[in-house]
Amino acid sequence: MPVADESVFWLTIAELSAKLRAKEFSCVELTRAFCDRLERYAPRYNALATPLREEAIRKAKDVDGDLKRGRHRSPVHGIPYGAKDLLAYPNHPTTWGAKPYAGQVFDAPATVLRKLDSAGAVLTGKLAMVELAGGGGYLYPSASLQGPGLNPWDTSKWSGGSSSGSGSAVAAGLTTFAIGSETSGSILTPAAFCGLTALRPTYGLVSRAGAMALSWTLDKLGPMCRSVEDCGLVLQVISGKDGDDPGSAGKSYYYAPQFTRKFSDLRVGFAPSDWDSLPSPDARTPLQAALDAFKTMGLQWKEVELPAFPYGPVLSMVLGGEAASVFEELITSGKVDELADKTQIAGLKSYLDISARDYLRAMRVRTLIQAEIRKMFYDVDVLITPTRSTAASGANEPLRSRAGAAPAPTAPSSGSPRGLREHVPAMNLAGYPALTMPCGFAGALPLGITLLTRPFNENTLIALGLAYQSNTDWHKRHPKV
Amino acid sequence: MVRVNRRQLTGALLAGAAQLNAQTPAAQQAVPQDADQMLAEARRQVAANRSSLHRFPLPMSTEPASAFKAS
Repeated sequence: MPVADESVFWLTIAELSAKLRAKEFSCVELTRAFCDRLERYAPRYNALATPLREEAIRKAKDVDGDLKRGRHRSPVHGIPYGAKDLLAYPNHPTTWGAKPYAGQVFDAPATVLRKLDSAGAVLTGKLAMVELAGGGGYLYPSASLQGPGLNPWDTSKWSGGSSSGSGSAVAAGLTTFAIGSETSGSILTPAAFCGLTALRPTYGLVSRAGAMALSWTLDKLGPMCRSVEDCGLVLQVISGKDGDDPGSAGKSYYYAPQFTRKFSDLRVGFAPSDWDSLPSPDARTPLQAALDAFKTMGLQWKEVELPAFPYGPVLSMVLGGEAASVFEELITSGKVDELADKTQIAGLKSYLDISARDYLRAMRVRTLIQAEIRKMFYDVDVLITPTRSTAASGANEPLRSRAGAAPAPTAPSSGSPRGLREHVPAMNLAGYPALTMPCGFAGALPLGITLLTRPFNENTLIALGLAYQSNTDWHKRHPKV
Repeated sequence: MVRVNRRQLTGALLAGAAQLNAQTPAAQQAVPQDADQMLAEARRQVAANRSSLHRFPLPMSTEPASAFKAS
């Protein structure tokens, strides 16, 4: 039976899995339908780096064999997905979104892709990204081999970066979920701009072996999905100890939101100034409504603000110091000049100015940041804040992102309350997990709200997210493709 | 245990806030077009980050946030 109904492309992992098991269609039929759709529509959003149809169909045949024998390997068994093109996949180019690496081919898959393969998930394509995950600080969304990531909700707008193709592909129903990466904002930003639910795991929970390194002490991989449940199911598959990743925390994640503390025992920190200072009234109303929805859940509330630290400069120095080492050969050979974005080229070159003393000073301030953020969580269990203060900007508009992989958040001006607005650099420096969920629209463009918690406490985020999504339908909305 | 008083933290924060404000969308800023100018601007940014961090009070006993493990 062919996949006849377009609604299939918007189903969650659990919904698709149930249909596969009920034999409403075979995995080969499902995979063919997703490959057709990905190859047909992804170019519209500059979202596709490499289609993997042949490999996907081969995998789908294996899955059908398993299903015939009644074998169900995991919750993602038979589910089509895409991966950011910084993850190694054998016998095909892994370009890191950058011209100097356009012909790069690896022999072995990244650990996350190997784990997903063992779990029976079907990789249908490598997805576009900002070149080198934007590590040099890009000025234009066009900083990518595939061109600017375009937003399925409005193709004149940016999809966000640096996991731009992952954001567009899931939003447009070209794949059921995607794997993105975050150094500082590269999962949260495209997820918020494209209306996805996504999880940035605790540093070290998901192996980065086989992923492009930008900053060894900041890089994380995580799921970009249609729902909170999907994020939990994918995280369960991709997490775990890996001797091939020196940053691996040696911990696993099990999807078990039912065992988290009662909501009445959870203390949630928020900063009223985060909402009061939103630049656009279009964004203020839906984001305020999202906060109000959480306030009906019987949680304990406490006003908080981030400890006072120069998060931007610390993040820039750590990322820049590590990226200068990772990309030293690219920079000194002059091949860096082949990158698409001139600001990024200059940024990477400037990182060679960072001395060991500068880097170590930043890493020492980072120790203080970790200590103060740990103390902050003595009084709260979860933080809540807008993911970004605005919806997506124009696809041709310049950005100013000198601090890493995504445009910098709006920093508090001197004298105004700090709130939690610098959560992206602060919580990435501290290695804490985050969950972003769609929570409304500013005009036609999605907005996101973020929950943050202590390291390795992802189930608390998932439990709160599930409760929010059971009362709202923002995550079920999708653009016309 | 490291101790930093509130006044020291506030001073450092203001330096950081000024730095982050320099990262707001370029539409509000003059964007250098020439490659040499861009490199000079990027280097200025690194220098600005360096001075922000050097204004931040850092107790001598604070170790970097990375750990060497014998194995």
